[in-house]
Amino acid sequence: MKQFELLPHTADIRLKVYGRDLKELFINAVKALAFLLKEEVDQKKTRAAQQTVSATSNDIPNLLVDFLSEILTRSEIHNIVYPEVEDMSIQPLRTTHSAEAILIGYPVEKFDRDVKAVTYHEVDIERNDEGMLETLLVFDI
Amino acid sequence: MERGSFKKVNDYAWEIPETFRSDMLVPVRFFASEDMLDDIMRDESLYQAVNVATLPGVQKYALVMPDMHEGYGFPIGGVAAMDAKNGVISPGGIGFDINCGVRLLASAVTFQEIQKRVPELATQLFQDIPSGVGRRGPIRLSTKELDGILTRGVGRLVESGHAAADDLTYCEASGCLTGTDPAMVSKHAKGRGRDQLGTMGAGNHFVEIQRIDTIFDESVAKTLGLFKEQICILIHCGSRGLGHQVATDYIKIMLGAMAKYKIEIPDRQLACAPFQSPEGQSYWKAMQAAANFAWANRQMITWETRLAWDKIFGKGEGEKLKLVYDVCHNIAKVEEYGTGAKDANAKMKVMVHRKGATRAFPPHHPETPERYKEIGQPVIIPGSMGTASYVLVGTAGSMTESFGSSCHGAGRMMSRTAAKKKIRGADLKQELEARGISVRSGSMSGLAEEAPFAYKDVEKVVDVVHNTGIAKRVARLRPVGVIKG
Repeated sequence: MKQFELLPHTADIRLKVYGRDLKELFINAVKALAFLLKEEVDQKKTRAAQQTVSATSNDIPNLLVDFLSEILTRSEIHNIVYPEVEDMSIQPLRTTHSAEAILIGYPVEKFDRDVKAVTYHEVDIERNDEGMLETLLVFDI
Repeated sequence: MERGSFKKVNDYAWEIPETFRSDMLVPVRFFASEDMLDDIMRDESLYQAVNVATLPGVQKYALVMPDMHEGYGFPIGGVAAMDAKNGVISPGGIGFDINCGVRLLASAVTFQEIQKRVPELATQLFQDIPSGVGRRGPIRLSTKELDGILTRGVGRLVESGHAAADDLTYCEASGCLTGTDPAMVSKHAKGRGRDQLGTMGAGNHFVEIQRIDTIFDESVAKTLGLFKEQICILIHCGSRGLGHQVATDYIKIMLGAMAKYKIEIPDRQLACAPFQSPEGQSYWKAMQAAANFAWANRQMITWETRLAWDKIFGKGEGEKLKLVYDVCHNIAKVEEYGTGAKDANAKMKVMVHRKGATRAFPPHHPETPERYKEIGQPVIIPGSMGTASYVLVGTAGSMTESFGSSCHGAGRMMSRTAAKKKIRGADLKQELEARGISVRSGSMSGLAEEAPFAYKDVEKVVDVVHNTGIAKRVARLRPVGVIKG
């Protein structure tokens, strides 16, 4: 099953991310971000680090961007990429929505790309004709 | 966008009327020559400008420069002036890389005098200026030291010996915006920026060794200290992770606050708040702090450049690299412009958002350094790594036509993926080296993404701003050394 794919953008990076449900969509988006930061991580050679990451927002599309932004910030401060997700939970509440996950990360010497930020531009979670959830994500490079 | 959606204003200006979409408050005006239109219509730039024209308080027209390309929220090359009293401030109109900008250093030597040592100089600069993603800078700042930079910008580096007094004089805003409050900059932002001062980053950021190949205006060039065949250094970078995080933090805050102010926008990335609101003022203070960090960052790279120059040409030689000017192209400023009312002296304060656009103030503007009073503010336009860059000066036309703004570069027209499909980084390096350009890069893939053919023709872009009368050509530079992350 396709997790994400790169689409054309003149200067930045536009991705389409897929998932059977919201949880899987969020997990695939985390994997996509890790891929943009470092395409290949030698997981055998590097000791894994574990981090709990959470975010809250006023709607689900914003929550996805805010959750990814939190991961990007931690990646940059600690020089770690987080390609694995454990215990992903999303709580849609009445006015505030929250996401929390345990991420498994790997320290890297440097990243492949300078991902400056995750943008809210074009983010819109919808179910496609195949019954999958999908959204566009634009990353500032 | 279809050709029929906009009308010709003159040979270099076009307008999308405010009737194009019901939520537009003003028209969109963009600068381009007729032969650039097909490329411009290929991406989302003009639709993004239409979205900008809906923002509360926007004045006269939403503008787009000829180097435009699609961004997120604002198009790159976008300029919008909002009523400073009743309008909004939008972090998306400044961009994540707050005060991304360029500075030009002029040497006292000609290309012919140092030609044989250019490859050696390129290697030294690559070694001494931290570049690439994740590379740390030469110092790790304590919170107190970082707050000093956020409050005083380049001024703090004059005290620490990393800058000369002239380095202050020839920066836009003297390298320091004074309305900052470091407490408005989050812990996350400080964490990202703490060890990034003096680092270039990656992507389209660079340090280049340039040779002046053409002087268009001898008198103005002389005032700027520029002459034919002179070697110059061009530096392009911004506020690094600190600025990126400030934008991230405040876009989220504004998204949460818009309902309170009954603001509706066509794109979440245009999140905004009234400039005078608590959210608007907090962002304004944080943005200025991030801008100061960016100026300090370019100053530290200047310091590293001077040390590298010393190593190649002898102790004390680096000091001879003089700052011509440092100008930002991602920033918001409060400025005054004519209202177009019958009273020619009537002016109003506006919050000018420049996202991928350079300030271009004319002669005698109070914010232009004393030495440049008669010629106007320098406008520095980098091209791609294989093509020309330009020095221009602002003209009176910028004040009536473009809220004191001009273009900021050549402008991308091809995606990074498409560029990489077209050429391998190693082949591009070989091609540029064969043309006499020494290339030093930490990433061959990153180099391919920045291939010259991925950019518009900088000559056409500069022709448009020159012929529109918003800036005037002074000198053209050609790269002889390229240092990239």
